[in-house]
Amino acid sequence: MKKCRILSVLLCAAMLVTGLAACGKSDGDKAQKDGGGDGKIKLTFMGWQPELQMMNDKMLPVVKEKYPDIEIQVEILEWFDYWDKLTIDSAAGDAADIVAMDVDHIATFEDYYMGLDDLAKDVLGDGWEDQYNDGILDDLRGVSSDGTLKMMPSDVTGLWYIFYNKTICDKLGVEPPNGEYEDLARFAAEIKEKDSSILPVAFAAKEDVNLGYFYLWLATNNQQGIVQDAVEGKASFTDDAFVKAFDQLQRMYDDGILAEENFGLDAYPGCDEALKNGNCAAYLTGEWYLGNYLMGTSLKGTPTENDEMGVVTMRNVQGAETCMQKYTSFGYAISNECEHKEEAMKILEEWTQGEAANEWMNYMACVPAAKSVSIDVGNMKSEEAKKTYQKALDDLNQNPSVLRSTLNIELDNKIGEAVVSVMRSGLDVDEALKQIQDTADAVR
Amino acid sequence: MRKNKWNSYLYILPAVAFVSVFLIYPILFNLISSFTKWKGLNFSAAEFVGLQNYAALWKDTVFRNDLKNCIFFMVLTLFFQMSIGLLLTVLLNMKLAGHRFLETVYFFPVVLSSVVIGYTFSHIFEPNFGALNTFLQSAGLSNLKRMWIGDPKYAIYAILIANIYQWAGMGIIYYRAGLAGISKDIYDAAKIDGAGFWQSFFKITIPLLKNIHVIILLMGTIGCLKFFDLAYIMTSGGPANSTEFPLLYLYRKFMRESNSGLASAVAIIIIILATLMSAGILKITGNGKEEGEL
Repeated sequence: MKKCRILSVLLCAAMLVTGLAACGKSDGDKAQKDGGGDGKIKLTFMGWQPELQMMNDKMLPVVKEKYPDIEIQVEILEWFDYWDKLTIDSAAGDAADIVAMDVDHIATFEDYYMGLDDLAKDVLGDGWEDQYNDGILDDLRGVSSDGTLKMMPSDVTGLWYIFYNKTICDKLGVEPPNGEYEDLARFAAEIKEKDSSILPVAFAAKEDVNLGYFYLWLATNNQQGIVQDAVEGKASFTDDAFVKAFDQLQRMYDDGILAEENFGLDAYPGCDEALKNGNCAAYLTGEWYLGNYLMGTSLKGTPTENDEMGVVTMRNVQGAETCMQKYTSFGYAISNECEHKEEAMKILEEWTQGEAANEWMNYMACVPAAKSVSIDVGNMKSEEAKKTYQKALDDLNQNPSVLRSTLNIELDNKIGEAVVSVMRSGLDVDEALKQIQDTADAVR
Repeated sequence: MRKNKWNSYLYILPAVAFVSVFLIYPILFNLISSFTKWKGLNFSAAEFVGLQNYAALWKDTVFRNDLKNCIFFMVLTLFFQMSIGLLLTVLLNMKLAGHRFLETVYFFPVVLSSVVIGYTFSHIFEPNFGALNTFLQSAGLSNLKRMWIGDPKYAIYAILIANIYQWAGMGIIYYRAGLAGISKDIYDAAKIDGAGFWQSFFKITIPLLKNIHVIILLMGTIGCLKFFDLAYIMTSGGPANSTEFPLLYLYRKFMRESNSGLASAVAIIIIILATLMSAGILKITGNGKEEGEL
């Protein structure tokens, strides 16, 4: 009896110790990162784009050849899941050594990722900044509160682009859009008339934030600089440019460009699959799909695999000069917890400037941040793609530009929410703008 | 005697430690952080602001709308889950042919993952290429097609249907246990007095299952207050916040906007509401006791 009692007590104590010990971090991970017995340095990388899976095929072999002592473990998640996991991992001090980053999220995560200027100088040498196109690094420094570079830029992207399926257009006898508003309205009407089962222009209006970004683009093109001024308090979100932007959205709805069906579509998989399956004739979205559609990297095995795709920049609906939304959409950051920072910086150099960067850029057809990286237009899938790609890139590089977002996620969410409420729930425009202004005042 | 007392404490120590670490401490931490302006992930940067977060929630029309959505959803969920659950249980209790198979069919959704149910119903209610609209189109009923989860008017009903599908079977388990406690003699006596099926149902079955109704009401109320998964998967709270619930709001504030202080305040409000509603239900129903029961 006494033995049973002692055994019970010991079991209870063991349960307690085991339960609490299980909460801690494993030292096994650390041992693994140090390479264990094979002497290799193991780095972990986490990113969001499905295309990053190609890392395993194209980018990692390049890195392996250049740095045989470094091994990289890759984890890829969907966009929203990625930021959720990054939040948890960063707070727990368990983030990957290298993470994918974009300019909109630098402010949220800056405390967890190191400033790269000093490390870059130590590892890459004094002239490292000259390897990147002018202004990109300074723009990124301006986004972090301490003025340091928190992410090494890989590529620059922009909005808004209309990817169109020329094969569908030819089949229906409809001239592809040229980007001008009136022509886009003509295009939408003709597609609807010729084949009502095909959505003329897909747009991810189901995503509040996406609609919010488009709304800000309309406002910017009504008065350049108005969004930044409103964010800083030098102008107001109730100003005329913002009121007019709602009228323009309504006009797009009435003209069938922003169709009812779009409010049930998200970007991925909704609109992406609609274009790939031939359910829509065009897709109004960002430049980051250039590789997917013009290089055809994501069309393989789909009904549109052999279709001709083209792209055109969406023009200012007022007909004046078009201001683009342009930002460093993708780059890499190094975690404060990373134990092999020099090696991580070497990887960042290779992924943003080196041969691995060339592989990535030619797959994605994005605008490279580094001077040494170039896109081989010969890789474009069709004549239409080759014909239209360069103009799209030139517009992004030559047109005036602003950032896509306000750089405050709370304000961006509020804008998206208000815009959707106006379009779908009948919220009064003045009330919507007042709510946006109140949020802007609260977060300033 | 004293030795036994110490042994007793040792036996309960693991459970107490577990509850303290994983329940009491997080609630206390949450309560403290709800009085801070805490942006980001680093608590050392938090600043005490008193009731500012609660005031902000009071003024926030979106949060008030979320509470309205929650109450509306709760009332409909409880009504349909309880009525469907009870009716199905009574029918199954009649032991008609195939009742065992039907029991499995009705209970199956309860054990399915919410993710599976959410994605399935998303595809059913997807406005452009979803199964429901495709069916209506091919059946010549295209005038009945709607934007479903893309329309603020209908999205909440789509989620409601998914939720009822998932949890109606749970009511069967509870009502089954309750029905087993009602003596057949009462039904026999009622039959002799000329009572039909519906009379027995409303005058005998429903009143004598009062305890079970209270349990389901309590669990359903708390479940709706912390409702998240189906709404997140099917609509992410849209369109235009028509399907946003308090916990989705909390998730958005914490995960997307890094407003941890405000998110903590939402959590505390949910705890308070759950406590008040549970107490209210117990008070109104007399703690589930029958008349004259001690």
